[in-house]
Amino acid sequence: MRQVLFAAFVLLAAASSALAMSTSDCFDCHSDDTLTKVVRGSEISLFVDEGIYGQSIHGDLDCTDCHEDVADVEDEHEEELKPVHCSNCHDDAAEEMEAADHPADCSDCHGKHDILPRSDSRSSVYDLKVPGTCGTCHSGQETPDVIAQYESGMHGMVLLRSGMIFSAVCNDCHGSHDIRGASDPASMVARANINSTCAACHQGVVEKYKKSIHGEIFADSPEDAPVCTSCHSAHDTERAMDDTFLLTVVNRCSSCHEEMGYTFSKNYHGQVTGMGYTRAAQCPDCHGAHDILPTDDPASMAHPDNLVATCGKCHPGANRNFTLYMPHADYHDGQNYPMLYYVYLAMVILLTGTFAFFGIHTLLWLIRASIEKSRNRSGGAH
Amino acid sequence: MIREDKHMTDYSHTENIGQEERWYLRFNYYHRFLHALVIISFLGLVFTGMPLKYSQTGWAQTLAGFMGGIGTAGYWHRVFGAITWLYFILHLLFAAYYVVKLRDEPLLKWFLGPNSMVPWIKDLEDVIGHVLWFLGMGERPKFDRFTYWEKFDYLAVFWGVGIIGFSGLMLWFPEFFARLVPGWTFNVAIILHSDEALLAAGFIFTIHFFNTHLRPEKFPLDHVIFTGRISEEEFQHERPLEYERMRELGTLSSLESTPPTKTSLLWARIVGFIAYGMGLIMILFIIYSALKELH
Repeated sequence: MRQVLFAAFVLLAAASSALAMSTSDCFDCHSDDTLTKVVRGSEISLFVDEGIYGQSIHGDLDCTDCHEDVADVEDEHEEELKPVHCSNCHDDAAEEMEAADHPADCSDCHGKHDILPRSDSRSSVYDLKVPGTCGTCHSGQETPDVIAQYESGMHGMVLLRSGMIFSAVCNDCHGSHDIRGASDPASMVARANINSTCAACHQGVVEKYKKSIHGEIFADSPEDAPVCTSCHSAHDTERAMDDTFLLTVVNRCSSCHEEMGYTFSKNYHGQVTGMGYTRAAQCPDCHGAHDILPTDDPASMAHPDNLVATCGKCHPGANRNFTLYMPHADYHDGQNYPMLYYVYLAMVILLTGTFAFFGIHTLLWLIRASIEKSRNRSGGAH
Repeated sequence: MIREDKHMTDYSHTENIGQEERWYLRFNYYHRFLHALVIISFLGLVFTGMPLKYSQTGWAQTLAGFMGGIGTAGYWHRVFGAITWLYFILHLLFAAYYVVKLRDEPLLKWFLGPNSMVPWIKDLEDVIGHVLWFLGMGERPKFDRFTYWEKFDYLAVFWGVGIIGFSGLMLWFPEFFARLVPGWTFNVAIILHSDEALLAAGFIFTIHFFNTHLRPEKFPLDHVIFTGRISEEEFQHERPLEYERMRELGTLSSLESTPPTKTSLLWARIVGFIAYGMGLIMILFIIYSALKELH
């Protein structure tokens, strides 16, 4: 059916502009792969591969459908052609491009005479090719190098190493045509929108998050709550069970919970975590991750009533007594931990006293013994 | 008795004609073996434990990395901790055996006398007398079998192993100990374990090393804890009261021994200098970390 319609269309077009340039006229010149012109001092090829063009999604169109200014030319056209208007057909995409601030032309991402549908694995916007296509501008020229970060991140690894095309590629988070900077409130990656953007795939996680204290705060004022990317890096996203995540998650939590991060680092779990030992507990092990709740909430993992189960995950056999350990204690803080403070103080006095006494004792002994030795030596000479 | 008399005669004989030096046994194999266990376990504990105490310094990270990570260091820390408990128990058994079987004087007389490690009035007098001698205000006190600083060393280790050992055991098996004590005692245990360890390391690597080995009379090393032997001259000079008492009692000759062999002296130096080196490195590390913490 489509072919019949197309044949009719071609016949009509041929009849209505018998004098105008036909596609075969164009290829009279442009199938010559040595045809070039000089633009601003550099030579560019004017060759169009008829085979590739024919197989492209636009292969059934005439050249003049896009290069409109050539349509009425009888013989040779102007050297400088006007830009083509993809918007003549693709008006939705063009409108989005217009409204957004992505300074790229259609052809930068989609190509020119070789455009293929994005479902075609040869297309420059096929899922597996997107990072490379975006990388033609965004790779190696920005700090940080987001493409390199993406490639080493979880999404990139799943896509490029495991070859799973359902992994997120650039446009899944940033949009295709309405690409906007994160500071633009309408951007898919704006702080207020990032959770919904991630939810397109990670729906279950975002549902949990919404019920957490972080989600509750987000509902009231998005600026004050952590969003997905506050804890999970945007481009070099780690798996939450990987060492690289577990060893840095404390820093991420501490960027808001500074005091808790400090006291954690001063206690056993934090000390060994700081030394690269991930088997010890980090923040999420006791407080939860997406479902995190304040400690005084009875549903919180860290609520006193739930601690036997929470501690028991790593310490089988932990009882109620066990949970009275204070993982965030600070023995320098006499106000909140008077007993620890006095134990510490007693140890300081013991250490200072011992070292002061024996320090002086040793010094005096050294002097006296040296005097005696030199006296004996000179005495022995007599 | 006949044998001792013979030796007594020998002694005066050699003294008169100035023959080769005489040597006496101060520490038997058991003492030396336990001290070797102390050296090995103590250095091991300090090197595997201090990185955790100073976990935020680069030094600690490097040291732990050298040992294969803090997890591996923690494993070896427990091994050395077990050795510590081993020598502590072996010593208690020996002490009990001594009190019950070997003791040859009444209990109280032994307890407060020169053959026990218990500090008594003589030790207080010796501290004052020794310090006065440092200041050039009197004669050097005459010491007996155990000097006051040796008793302090002994009791400090005894107390230290008790405190560090018990708190360490609590932190090793917290689930078990939580059946007996509330969890906040682990917070207390950590402070005690950590600061008592700092005291022990700081004391052994400076004060003990100086008092026992590095002071001018002994420099560079007193090999007696390795070879077990002390020369007659040193015996008379360092422990005149013990020497005289044993001479009067006629028991001195029972301690007479062969001179230390060249090999044993070499080994004493090798072990001693390795311990000095490790101690010095750790002291510098502790000072560096403490200064960094102040900033």
